Amino acid sequence: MATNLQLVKELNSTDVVSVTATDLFNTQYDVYEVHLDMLYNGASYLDIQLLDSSGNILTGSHYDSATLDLKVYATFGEFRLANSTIWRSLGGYMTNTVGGNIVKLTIYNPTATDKYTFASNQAGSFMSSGLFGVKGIAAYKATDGVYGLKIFGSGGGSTTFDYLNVKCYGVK
Amino acid sequence: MAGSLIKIDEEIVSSAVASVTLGGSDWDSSYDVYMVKITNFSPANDDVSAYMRITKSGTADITSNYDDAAKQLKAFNSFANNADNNEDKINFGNVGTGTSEGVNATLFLFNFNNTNEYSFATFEAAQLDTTADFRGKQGGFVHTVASASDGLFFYMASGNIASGTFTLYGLKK
Repeated sequence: MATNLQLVKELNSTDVVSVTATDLFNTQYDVYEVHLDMLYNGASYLDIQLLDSSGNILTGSHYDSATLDLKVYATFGEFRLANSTIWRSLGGYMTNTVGGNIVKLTIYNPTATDKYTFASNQAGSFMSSGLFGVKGIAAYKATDGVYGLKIFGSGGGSTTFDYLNVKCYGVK
Repeated sequence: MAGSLIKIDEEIVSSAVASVTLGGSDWDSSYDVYMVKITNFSPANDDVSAYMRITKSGTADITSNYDDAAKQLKAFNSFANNADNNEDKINFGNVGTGTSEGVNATLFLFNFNNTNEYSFATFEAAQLDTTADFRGKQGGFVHTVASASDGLFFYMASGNIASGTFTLYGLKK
């Protein structure tokens, strides 16, 4: 029996400041599951920007995100951004521990040009203080058409990911 | 993993209908866990609640046996706790007729074929509300009746469903 979860693209990177993952999304699917697996050499939020069909970053202030931060070491927290130029904290916070950081994103309608792009996510980061889990949502409130992701640390500079792996599945 | 997701039923609303039944006569009881994807579940009337019930033998169960608990996440304001006991439906929240004002969601269904236990689900939903503010929910619900369930029933508080794609998958053992 044919499966309805189909690998679209896998991209494995090492010693990189950011990953620009083009051609993750296409018009064959309306819903995607994206898995990220990484280890970052600094203290930063995980930031994401969206890419158009040419691989250019969509820079408009159309990014909304809201995450519930589930901390084993402190009170749960809220993180939210409206009309921003990034999705922030969908992968929680990273503090350079060997435990690394994982994210599952569900992306709805990315390539549609008559609908906005939405996402929901779950993530886990192992901080120096302990587990930092995330349950969140995100929206890109424009109809440009989204075909990829740029993934990077909020601290910027030359801080690298030891590794950053991306797997994208289409849900048929 | 990539070989384990099997599509069972899909309902696409392209012209207005009063309700959508996902599963029901198309239900396949050979799975333990099911996944449901919903995109662009939008109303014909502005500012109405998007509702869901489970089906028993293909018919929506209207009894007051739905308990749900969720964190309501908002990009524009403080988060809220949603907790309801003995409701007769699950409420995704109010949606409207503006651009992209509809529900996008993923649910996992558990115990639906078990005649001796309750039916459970988790859900995560992301939507624009009737003022185009972005919000969503992360949570779950239970239907506190020990009998088998065989699908989901979607409708609006008033008026028709204008659009939406509803897809049911089984997670292969």
